Amino acid sequence: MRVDDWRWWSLAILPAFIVLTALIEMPGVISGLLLQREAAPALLMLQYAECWLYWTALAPLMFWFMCRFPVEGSCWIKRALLHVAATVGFVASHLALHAATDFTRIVTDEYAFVERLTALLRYSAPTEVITFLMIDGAFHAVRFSARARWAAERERELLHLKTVAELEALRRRLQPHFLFNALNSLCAMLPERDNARQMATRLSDYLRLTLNRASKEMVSLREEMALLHAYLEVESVRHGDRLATRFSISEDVLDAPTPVLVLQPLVENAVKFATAGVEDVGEVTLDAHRRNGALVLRVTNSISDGAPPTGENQGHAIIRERLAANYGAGAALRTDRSGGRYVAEITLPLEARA
Amino acid sequence: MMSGRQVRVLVADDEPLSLSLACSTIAVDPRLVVAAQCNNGQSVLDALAKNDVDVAVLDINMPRVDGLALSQLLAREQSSPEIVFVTAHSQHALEAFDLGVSDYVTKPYDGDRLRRAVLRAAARRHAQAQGTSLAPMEKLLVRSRTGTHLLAFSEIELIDADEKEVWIQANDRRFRYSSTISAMERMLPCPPFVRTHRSHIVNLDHVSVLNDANNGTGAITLKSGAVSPISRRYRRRLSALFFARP
Repeated sequence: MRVDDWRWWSLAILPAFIVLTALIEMPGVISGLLLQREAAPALLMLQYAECWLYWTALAPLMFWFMCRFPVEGSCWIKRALLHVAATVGFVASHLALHAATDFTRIVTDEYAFVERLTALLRYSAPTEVITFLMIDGAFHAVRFSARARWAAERERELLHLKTVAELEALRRRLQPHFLFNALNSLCAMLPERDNARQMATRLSDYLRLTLNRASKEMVSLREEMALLHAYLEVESVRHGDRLATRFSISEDVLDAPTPVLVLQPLVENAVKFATAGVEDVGEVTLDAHRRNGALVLRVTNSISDGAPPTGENQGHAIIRERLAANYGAGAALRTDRSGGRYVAEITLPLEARA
Repeated sequence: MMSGRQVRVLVADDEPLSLSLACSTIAVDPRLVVAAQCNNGQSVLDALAKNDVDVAVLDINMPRVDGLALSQLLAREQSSPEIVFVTAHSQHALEAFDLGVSDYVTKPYDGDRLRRAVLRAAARRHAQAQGTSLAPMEKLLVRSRTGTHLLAFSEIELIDADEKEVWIQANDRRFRYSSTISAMERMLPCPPFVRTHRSHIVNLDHVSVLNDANNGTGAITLKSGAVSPISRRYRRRLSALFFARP
């Protein structure tokens, strides 16, 4: 991080010092000009700026010290004491620089030099201490706020990485080939026309599709339908003749981008409610067609008379949120129950998003 | 079948259960016979030296010489058998097709799927032995009342059959062709050609709407408006191909 780099601070402080010099010394220079009509104001300004230029000269050492020993962590008391000592040290160095230049200027007059040094110590030292502490304080304030922002960002990043890592771990733990080999052995132990063998094969098809998926947010409708088809094949074995599944898919919408697994909750619901009736054959139908330049995905299920009332649930709310996040007002989910059927219909814009 | 004798199949898998499953699956079809069973790559090489084999059904993960290495070795041989990979690893598919293997079946499989793969591989080998050309055929000579036509495979939309002959639908016309639907299925590349019914083959490139139903009442509508029924037996494979195509 750059707030941990004394070189960045040393450079960053330059403009700050220049602005400070201008702000603090300008009134003096202007009033001096007005009252005493002194000549060469630029030269005068430079002379006043001296005090700040010395700080600039000390900046690399100062910031190296601050970056190396910031007041923080478990040893902050020790560090604070160290900073007190450093305050004395830096103020002394700063005064010494002053004195040294004064010395070169007033080299002839020994008495004036001693007097000047005493004046410096008496009048300037307190201001110098305050100045140093201000710089030290500003350093810590900027550093802490930058660190806090960085930490928040990092936390978000870590959370994301954690989710990805968890998914990856899950995928790895499943060890696909182990799973498929085991299911294959299972098939070997069953007669060819056995339902259990069918179930193992279809379940494998479904698993293979889910495992092969990259963790994308958008997939083609083709991929989505392949997964749903495999899913309903498994459900068909489970429910036997009691579940009739239908797909009606136009070939020309298969490449349309679709939010991944957006239909899955609707299809799960549909199977649940279609098979909830006791005697009847439940029907689940999936349609995907183009209508007025939009992609219409419809999941329909039959509801038998004795079935409990179906309504919207958490799944619908999540789909609406995802559609809003992806398409704004361009997409919608509508549900309708009438005439012994429950219909959930998603409309997506077919054209690629801007 | 085409050569009048059974297709001789070698099966290799290091897992005994898996091996017996593959063998019994193949033996269901009277046109196929298991000529050799092996449980590692080296024994495949030995068996091939002794036996005349048309199709080798190989597991990819085998000790010592694995399926991929084996197919590379065999590719150099003059009269090497056609290879069908059977594996739990779907990630080797691309590599396998680069090696020129006939087919790639993932475990666990439907019996029909494996048998069809073996039969197609045998047909490919037969065609090569006849010198019919290594490059796949892409045109068909058909007759109509107005004369003879050379139909590109890509023009063919639908093929349906009655007892004696097949009808080819292409360019809004129907052409009579003396063959059987099974022979057509073997000849035409899949995809895009796929059997939808006992007497129908559809070109997926001409499909407009798929209506798949698990109770055998599905149908497929072509861009020309023609409709072909989908029978229970073929529906799963059809929809798998329909959704899997890039």
